[in-house]
Amino acid sequence: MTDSGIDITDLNVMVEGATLLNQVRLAVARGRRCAVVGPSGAGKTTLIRAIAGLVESTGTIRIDNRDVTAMAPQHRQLGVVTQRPMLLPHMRVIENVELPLRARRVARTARKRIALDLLDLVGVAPLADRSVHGLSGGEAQRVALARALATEPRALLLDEPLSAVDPEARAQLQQTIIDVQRQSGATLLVVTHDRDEALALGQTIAVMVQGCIVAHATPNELITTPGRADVARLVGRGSIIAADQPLAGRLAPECACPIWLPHHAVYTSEPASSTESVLRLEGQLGRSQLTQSGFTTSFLIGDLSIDVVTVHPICNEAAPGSIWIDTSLVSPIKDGD
Amino acid sequence: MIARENTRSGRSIAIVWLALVAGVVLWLVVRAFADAWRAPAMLPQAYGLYGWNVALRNSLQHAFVQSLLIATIAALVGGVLATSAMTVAVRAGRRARRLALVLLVVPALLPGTVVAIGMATFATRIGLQGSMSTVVAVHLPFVMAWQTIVLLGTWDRTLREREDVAATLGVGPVMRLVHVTIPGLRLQLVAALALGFLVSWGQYTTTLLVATGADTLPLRLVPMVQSQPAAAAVMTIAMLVPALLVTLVLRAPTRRPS
Repeated sequence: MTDSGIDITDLNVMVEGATLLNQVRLAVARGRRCAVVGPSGAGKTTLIRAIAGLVESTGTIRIDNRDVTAMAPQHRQLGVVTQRPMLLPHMRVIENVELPLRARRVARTARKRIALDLLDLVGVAPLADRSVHGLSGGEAQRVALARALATEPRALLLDEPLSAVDPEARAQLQQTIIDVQRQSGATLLVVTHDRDEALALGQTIAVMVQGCIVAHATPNELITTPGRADVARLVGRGSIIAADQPLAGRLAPECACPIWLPHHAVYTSEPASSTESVLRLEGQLGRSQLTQSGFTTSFLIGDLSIDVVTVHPICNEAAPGSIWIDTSLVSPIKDGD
Repeated sequence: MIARENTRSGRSIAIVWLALVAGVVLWLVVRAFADAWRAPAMLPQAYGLYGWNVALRNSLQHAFVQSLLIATIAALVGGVLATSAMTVAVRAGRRARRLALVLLVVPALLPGTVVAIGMATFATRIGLQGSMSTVVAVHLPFVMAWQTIVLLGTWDRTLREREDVAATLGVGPVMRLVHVTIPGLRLQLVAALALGFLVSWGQYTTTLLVATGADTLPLRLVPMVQSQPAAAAVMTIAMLVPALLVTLVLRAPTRRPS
């Protein structure tokens, strides 16, 4: 038996005839952090809701090697934080955090002490006696996190936890989430549509598209070898260039140093074999060799120098022959070359 | 500018409306103390307590207490049933939810007399007639229908999400109801209970048709409208008092928190 914190097998969710999750398989090692990234409508929130038992599903969900598929949400021992903090407005901050402890019949004094410790852990202990009205987005989300931790969760499920938080507080809260996860040892699954958030929070990243997990790997693996066009678009730092499209002006957006190529440059991919690809740029033929990080080619075209371009053939039925260019690995044009 | 004009128009409409209501109540008070008031005179020829004496001689108190009990029980039972039904309905599929809601509100949509006669026939067939529980039972469809209409749409996304998050925090159904659902619906529940009370309080046809020998204020009041108008006015005022009290007493929890 693997040491899985979260192990999902063949998870399906259908709502009124629509398939929201389709044969989802995902395994997150115990105590690790996984970020699920995907476009809006991909099924990310449904995945969280299915794991939490809030939506009917088929398949198997195991948390810490315990099959929770048939369990009611209140028995799954999870901590869920949603996009909006969902604090109870008629309770003070500390009472919100105490609620899960009350449900577990923890004695009053112990309850208060634990709640204060948790609020301290997420950095909002001074707000304990405040009403939840008037908390900032970041403060409210911290309280929600403390409340989720009060369940002593086997897994923490965070659904777009930073989307309602202002940019300044976002980085701090990201760090708090990481610190809290480390301290609690709970497996963390966070869903987001924000690539940077996923990269910051996830030790692994699962890419979700149209109700399916299409890739799950470390951030570095996904960035350098996305394998699919949709994964490249969601996670990668580069550009996808159709084989017969002009390359000009397409490389620059996410590259720290701007790259300029002549407008009439034509970039073509002529796969030679599974380990070799042939590229033609401005009439110059470059033979690419498969290296550990992908296909590597060097070009020198007129007064322009592209030192290294790492490319990957993209497995994309919709656009066969398209290639993935990791712009982070493109060297800037050197003056005087 | 537009907001100020809207406020002014709203205030004017409210003043006209209050004046109308106050006029009706004032007319009732005058009528209750009019021992002689022959048309076409604008004011009574003689004032006195004749109407009050007639009303009290007719054991108004008994009918008052009976009506109070029936309306309170109907409002509470209806409130619990409507809330429970809505709790299930909002989480059901779209079709099931629509069907449940239509079934719940249909007594309020159909002509009252039709529903009342149907209820009365059914109650007679199954041998329920005359008791207070029968009266409560036949009031319930009307009470629940209006309570459902008040509660409709109150289980918004936020409340459902709060309930869901509470469930994931280990909070069981009863505790969820007490700590999440009821506080979240407090205002609407108060309004539903008040409306349920008032719907039952004013029921005449249903009570008349099913409850032979039942003693409620509307049953006493209607026959007196022609024969004893002063006593009828007294009973109408008696009917107004709990309605006003319900509104005033229940106003407190509906105030917005500061």
